[in-house]
Amino acid sequence: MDFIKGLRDRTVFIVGSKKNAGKTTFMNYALNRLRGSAPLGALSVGVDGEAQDLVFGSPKPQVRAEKGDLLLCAETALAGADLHCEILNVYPFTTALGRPVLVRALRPGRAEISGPENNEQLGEILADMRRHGAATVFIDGAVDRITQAAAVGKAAFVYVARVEPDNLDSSAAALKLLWAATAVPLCRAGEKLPEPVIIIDGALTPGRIPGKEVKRGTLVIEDFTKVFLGWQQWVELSNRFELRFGAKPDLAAIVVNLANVSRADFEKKLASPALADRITYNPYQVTR
Amino acid sequence: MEKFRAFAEFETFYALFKPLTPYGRMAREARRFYTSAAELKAEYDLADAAGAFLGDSRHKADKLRFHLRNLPAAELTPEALGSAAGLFLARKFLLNTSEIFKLLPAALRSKFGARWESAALLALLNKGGAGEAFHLSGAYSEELAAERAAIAVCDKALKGLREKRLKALRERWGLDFSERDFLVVDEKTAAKLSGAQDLFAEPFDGSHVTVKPVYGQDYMEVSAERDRRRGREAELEAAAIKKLAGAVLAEKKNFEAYAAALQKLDIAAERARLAAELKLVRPALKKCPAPIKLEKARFLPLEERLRAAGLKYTPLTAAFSRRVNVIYGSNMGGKTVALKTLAFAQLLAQSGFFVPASAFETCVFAGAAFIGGAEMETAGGLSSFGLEMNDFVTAHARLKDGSLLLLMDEFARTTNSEEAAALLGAILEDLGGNPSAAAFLATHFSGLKTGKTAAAFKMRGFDTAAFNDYFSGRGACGLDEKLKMINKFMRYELLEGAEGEEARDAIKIAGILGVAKGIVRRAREFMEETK
Repeated sequence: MDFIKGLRDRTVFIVGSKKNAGKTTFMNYALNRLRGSAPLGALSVGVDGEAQDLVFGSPKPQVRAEKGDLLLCAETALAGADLHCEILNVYPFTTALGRPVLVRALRPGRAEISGPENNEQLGEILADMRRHGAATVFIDGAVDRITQAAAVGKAAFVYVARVEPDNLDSSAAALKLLWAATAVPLCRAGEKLPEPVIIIDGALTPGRIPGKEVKRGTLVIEDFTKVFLGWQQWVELSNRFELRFGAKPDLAAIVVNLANVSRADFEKKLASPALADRITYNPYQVTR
Repeated sequence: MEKFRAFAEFETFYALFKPLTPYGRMAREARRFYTSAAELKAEYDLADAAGAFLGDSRHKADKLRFHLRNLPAAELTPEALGSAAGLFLARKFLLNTSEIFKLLPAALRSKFGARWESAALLALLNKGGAGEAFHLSGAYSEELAAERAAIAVCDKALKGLREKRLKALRERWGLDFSERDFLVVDEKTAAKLSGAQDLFAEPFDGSHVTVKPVYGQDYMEVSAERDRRRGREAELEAAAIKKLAGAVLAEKKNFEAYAAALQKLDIAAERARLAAELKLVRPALKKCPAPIKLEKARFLPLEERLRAAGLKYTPLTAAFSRRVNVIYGSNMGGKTVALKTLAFAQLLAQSGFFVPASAFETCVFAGAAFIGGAEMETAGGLSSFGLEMNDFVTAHARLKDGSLLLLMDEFARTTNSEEAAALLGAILEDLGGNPSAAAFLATHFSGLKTGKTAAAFKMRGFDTAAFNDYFSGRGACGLDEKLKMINKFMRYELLEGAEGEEARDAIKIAGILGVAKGIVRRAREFMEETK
């Protein structure tokens, strides 16, 4: 997984295809790889309520911190944590798990990371982490919270999926949509675009697709994270319209954990050699 | 009061008022309307003092704002202080308070009631703090420090044992766990590993197995020792928290006094900022009843809208020496804006703010009410006329409770003019006889019987001569252009002594706004016939 070096000094959202896709496992791995001179930061967005990481069966997705790491933990979770830490800030926002607390680990230990409830709070916390020296910051994204990835300037995201026979088709469709969206250009000032230019504020849902009477034109969508369409709907949309995004977080990597599915079968579903080339498969598997 | 605030478009201004501390924000939410001249004077004095301090040194002003912004709400309950996070907040509160108090000169500290009494408590909390950070340091308990030292030894030993085991696994099985907690191997490889005492295996899927290192007895023993010490550490931390929470709670009264002083300072500094940025002046307060004088008073929401539209704004200058005042004027002549300007200035003044004017002299009312703007409203089945009467009855009843500033815009406009004029005359006469009332009525009805107590004013209106001079041969197009033309030639000035004078600009305005020339001409002829 050589792409991990490229994540250094960036804000990296780790988003998953579904619960237990292996996001926290990947984050711990990436934290291990990037530890060095500058402190690392970790937090999450959204509360999954997941009790177990079913990909690899670890009892609870906790972050393994080393001395100097910056973590955002819920006040309630901090009380029973193994971590000895200093508190850098206590935020006045109320979350389901209490106030978020920014801490710096004073010795190695495990902690359950937590997160804010909206993008404004996320921005404040990230600014605080940077102020306290964090270089690379990982944000463990909850299911369907990929939207958060666009809230931070120059953010990168890593998409983690667990593919099983039961979700083979839907996983392939989701990845194809993600891949197609990465090819959509940014909307640039002064660019001449086919009329009419329709700007979609907020989520692009099936109900907000312009009616059939609009046969052509340009659709400007805030960013990929606002696209809530199926693969077929996306294909239909791209056939009718020139598409543009207002912002584009950088897709740093796609990590796919295949379980009882062969790589060949999955790639057949993807039907895109270029996409298949971008995928890092089974990063924890030993190949001999 | 809400209707009065809405009429004055008070929220447009209030949105600019942004206190920096949680205490200041609490005061902001209260939206206090001061009814005591002494209290208002005290608020103005504080804003003046804060303004002088902030204007004196940019560096100190920035520093003050930094610490105010960083001030957290200190929760002083045993529950809130029962965690390191609660103590962090208490320390952060004290640290910022101390820095703020240090910044203020003695005279200003005295004005805001800022007396620093918590040096010893802050020093105690600082044993666990460096800069903004706080932790339950070993300085609070020798035993705690000793446990942590022992845990550090355990951690070192665990690290060594882990590295040793990983090296052995690499050498024996070729499996590298240095960056991974586990590895996934195929069945064939797994078969070779079966029986390995130093690996734990479990199925990953139908053809793969997850393997993890088993660290051995010595590792488990050190790990158990660490867990035991971690348990003891938690007990010692809880004891340290209890002791520190007790020390903080013992100073609850000091914290409350600091919060009160900081709230005053935050509010005063923010009022001073607005005064400087919006060029506001301190109102002069007189004992009620007293004349109300506005000199170049600006109704900021309209000033901003006109500025954005590229139109000229005329500030209001007026002196109301009587308690009851009638403002006559033509359509679009600025009567309502004159009322709004007065409402805006009075509301700002009685909310503790300085006022956008070159001078504002007024008195402090016990209440304020507005009646008008109800043509589209209905309430409880009442028509707009019914609603106006109901509002008037409610406002009239309030006169028993003290002085009331009553603003009425086009009162009774929806009924026939004869009855409306009679009703208005009677109301004005009644208000004139009630020393608690200060009433301002804007109307386009001319020649009201207002009694001897009322003063009459007139908006100067449309400058026909200047308009004719400019307009000869030019055609206006579009609403923007038409509005600009009205704005250009309407004289938004308030002239005193216009009782009985009729406003005669409506037909001209209708013409500018595009009503057909034939209709305008015929309307003029009808006016001539009725003379």
